[in-house]
Amino acid sequence: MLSRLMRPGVPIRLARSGVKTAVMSNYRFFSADIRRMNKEQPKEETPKEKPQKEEHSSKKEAEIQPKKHHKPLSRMPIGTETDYSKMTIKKSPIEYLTWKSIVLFVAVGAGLTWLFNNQKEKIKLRNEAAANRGAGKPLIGGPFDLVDMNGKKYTDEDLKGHFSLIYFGFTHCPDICPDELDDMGEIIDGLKEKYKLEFQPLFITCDPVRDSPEMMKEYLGDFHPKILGLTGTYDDVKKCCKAYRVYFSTPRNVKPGQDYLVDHSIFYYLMDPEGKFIDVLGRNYDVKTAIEKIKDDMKAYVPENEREKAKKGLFGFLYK
Amino acid sequence: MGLFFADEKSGEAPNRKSREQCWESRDIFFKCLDNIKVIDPLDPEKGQEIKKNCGKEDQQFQKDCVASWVKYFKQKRPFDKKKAKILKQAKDEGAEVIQMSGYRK
Repeated sequence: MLSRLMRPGVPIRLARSGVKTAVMSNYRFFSADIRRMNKEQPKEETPKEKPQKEEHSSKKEAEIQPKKHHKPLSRMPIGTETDYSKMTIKKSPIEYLTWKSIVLFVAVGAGLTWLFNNQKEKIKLRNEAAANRGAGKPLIGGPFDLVDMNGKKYTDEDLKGHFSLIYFGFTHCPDICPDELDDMGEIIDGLKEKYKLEFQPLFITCDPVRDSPEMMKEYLGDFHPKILGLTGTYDDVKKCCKAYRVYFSTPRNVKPGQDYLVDHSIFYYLMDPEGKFIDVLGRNYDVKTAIEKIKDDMKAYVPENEREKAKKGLFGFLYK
Repeated sequence: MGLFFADEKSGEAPNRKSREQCWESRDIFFKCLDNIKVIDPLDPEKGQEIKKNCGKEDQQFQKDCVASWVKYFKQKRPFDKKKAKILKQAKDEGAEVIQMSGYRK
């Protein structure tokens, strides 16, 4: 760069007076202009630019001085008649507007916009799930100790490792439970076909006195084969319903063969692979919207260790 | 636990076939009630009228459904009728039905 500045015609004073390189770099861009200007000037004018060299020839200088103003005005940068070191020219932005830079700008912009929108939605759902997790104090869900329809023990530990959709009902339910269980079957198939997502559907009875494991198995035979029925003793079921905030109105002492109905809440509970509550779906969701909602919740789920890592990471503030 | 299920009547798990049979009988009985313009099947004043006109349908309904279901459906009917009436009235008045996203139709 320096060698360029030192080309003939460029004022030597600049280099010699010890101007900082940063400042000098400004001159690089118009050194061509200066050169051209110098070229167009009469030969005897150039010495004026090098005063140090001409100190001893004061006679010559006196001769040159009046000629200074003969330079055509159109060729003089405005505001700077003599001292080129004070001249500044702004770099033209056009210089960078090549097609490559435009393509890069658009690509990066579009990419970032997509990324931000995508992440924003995910973070929103994640925060919702985190809020529902209630910082280690689950509002819905909790330990339970039941028996599945095959007679095997089924506890809250068995919820771990997969998503679960829990529905509370009873086999002698006149019209709502069968409807809901049919919907559950459609949700299971819909999610699998459309999004390749799977979960464990559970049907927990609120009527443990009548609903034995065998009874559950027989009853659920009419519905989707993946639905697993859970039952237990009166107290275990009552405890489980309480943990899930399910209204439980089953009478304790019913005579064998007594015919009665059970009042219960009708919700689907979506649980994450840690066995913790994510979301609740009421009667307001139809099959199609329930599929979308569950898909969104499942996609937004992040395993616990990754969640902790993200909190400690660079973008941790986003998760707080 | 097994003690309770040894019972013959409610020991049988309700299945789809029996459910549908029950619903069908219910609908036949309710249709009959519509014909004689009775809304509440449990209305004691209409008891005689129901027995006279829809006795047969009522018997079939009670045969196909367990007693608790019969009671449930009979209690539910006035509410369903009321709901349908309100919706019809709103429609006649030109009210627009707004389908909220995520809600059942």
